[in-house]
Amino acid sequence: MTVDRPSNPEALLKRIAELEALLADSEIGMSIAVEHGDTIENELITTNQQLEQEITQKEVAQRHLQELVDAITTQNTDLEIILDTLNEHSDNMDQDMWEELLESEQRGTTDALTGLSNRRHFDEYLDQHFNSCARHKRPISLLMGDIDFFKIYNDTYGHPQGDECLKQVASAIDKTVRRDLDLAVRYGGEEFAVILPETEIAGAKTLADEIVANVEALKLVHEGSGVSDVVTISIGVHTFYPKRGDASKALIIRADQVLYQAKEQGRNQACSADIPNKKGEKTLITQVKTYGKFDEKMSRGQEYLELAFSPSSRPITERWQNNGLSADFLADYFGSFIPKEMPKMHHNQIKGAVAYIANELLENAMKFANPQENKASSLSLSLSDKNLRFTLINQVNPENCDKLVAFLEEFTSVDAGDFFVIQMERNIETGSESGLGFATMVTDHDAKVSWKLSPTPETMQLTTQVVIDI
Amino acid sequence: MNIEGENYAVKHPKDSAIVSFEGTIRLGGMQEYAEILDLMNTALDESGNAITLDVKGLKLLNSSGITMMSKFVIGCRGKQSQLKIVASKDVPWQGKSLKNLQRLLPSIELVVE
Repeated sequence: MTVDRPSNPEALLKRIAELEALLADSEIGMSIAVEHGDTIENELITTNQQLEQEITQKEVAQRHLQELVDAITTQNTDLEIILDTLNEHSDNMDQDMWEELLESEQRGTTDALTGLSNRRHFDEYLDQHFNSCARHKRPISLLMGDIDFFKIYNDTYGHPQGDECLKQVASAIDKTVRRDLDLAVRYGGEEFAVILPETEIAGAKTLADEIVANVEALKLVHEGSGVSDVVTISIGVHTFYPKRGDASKALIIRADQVLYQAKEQGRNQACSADIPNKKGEKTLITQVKTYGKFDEKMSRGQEYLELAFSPSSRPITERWQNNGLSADFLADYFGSFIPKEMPKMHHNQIKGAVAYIANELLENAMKFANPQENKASSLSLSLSDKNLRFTLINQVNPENCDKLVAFLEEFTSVDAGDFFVIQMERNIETGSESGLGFATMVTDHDAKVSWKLSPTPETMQLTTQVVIDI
Repeated sequence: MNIEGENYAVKHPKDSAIVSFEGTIRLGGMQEYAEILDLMNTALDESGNAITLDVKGLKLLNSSGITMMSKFVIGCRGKQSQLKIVASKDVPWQGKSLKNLQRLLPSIELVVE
């Protein structure tokens, strides 16, 4: 750039003035620029400070937030662990309680419906006291009861009402049984039992009579009952003086058999084997003995089992005829004592032999029986490893003695096959069936028969023994 | 101090660092467990921040009970307490449920006798 240089003073002065003005302007401009820069700088500093403050605040906030997140995360983890713990704990508790429940049900001794002891407790309690009474030579009694016509009650009034009936009968039994030692049990369905350790037959019978009366006194309407218009119960009572090795099952079976008699004799009553019932009748089977353990006894050739109809006021033959006692019942009853592992001869074969031979013996005895007899008669059955033995003692009508002796002599004088033929021919001739069954018994079962006829002051007593090998 | 209920007992003998549990505890909800939790916390404070819970005789503890135990363990974690739990191998739930408490506080000494 070229600058025009003034050539005269005036021009120079003018130029100076212009330059001075320009300088002043520049100074002003400079001043303005400096002031502006300061302002901007201050503003920047302020802004920067604000920003730093904000950053610090945000950092603090972020730190707090992170802490919060951490705390929440920890709590969340804790809660997850607690939830897991709870779930697993609940499952564990469920499992433990379920197992406990199953165990307690098995262990349990109470019938849920009636609150009486249950069958399981009954088995344990009976065994325990049966053995205890055997050790101390003390009696033990058992009552077996059954509500009369209960099926009809259920059918008539429905199961809920049936359950209520069971509860009330159970309550009546429970209230009647007062001694701590006695145990009232719901044996199953409408069957009840009472175990009476250390109790003689008379005490047991008295208690059974009270139960019968108290159940009737409940006055539970039972229109379908064949014996009353209210609910009633029949009870069989039996008492044992157990010996070591005797089976408690025998007591149950016998009490049950007496219960059967109570039912047969009109229900709504208690019967015992040794005490007359309301009608003065006595029940039948009075003695069952098992001797020690089956295997041991049988291997030594010793007698294992004996079933006896003991003396009572009525002869065995009459009871056989009038009490509806069947040969099949006798066979089942005897058979229930024969262990399943019975060797040589099958269970059913023994039962069949018992049914047949006992029936023939008794039928035969009745033919010659003394109608006036009031003396004891008895039938006993015993089982050993070698044979099954029947012994019948009965009273013979003296008028029939000659006929009987002739029959028996003929029987022993020929072999069984011939005896059968002789009887057959005679029967064809006379049209009777006399003696055939007896002969068949001998031939079919290869039975050995012996007898003894002995006079007593009043009558003739015949002892017949039949032995079959097994 | 002891707490005795119908089927359970929680015992903390004086000057002892052991709280023992017996029976079946089935209280309803955390409110009903508050008394037991208080006893445990007091026992922890009195025993110098180190305590043994003996649950061998505790046949049953319901869900609220295990929740209360969990809360106590979380409390112990906050206080950095020393916690030992003595359990029984004859009580099935103890071997299973109590292990979970170690997840809340890995330093728990769990002894199954």
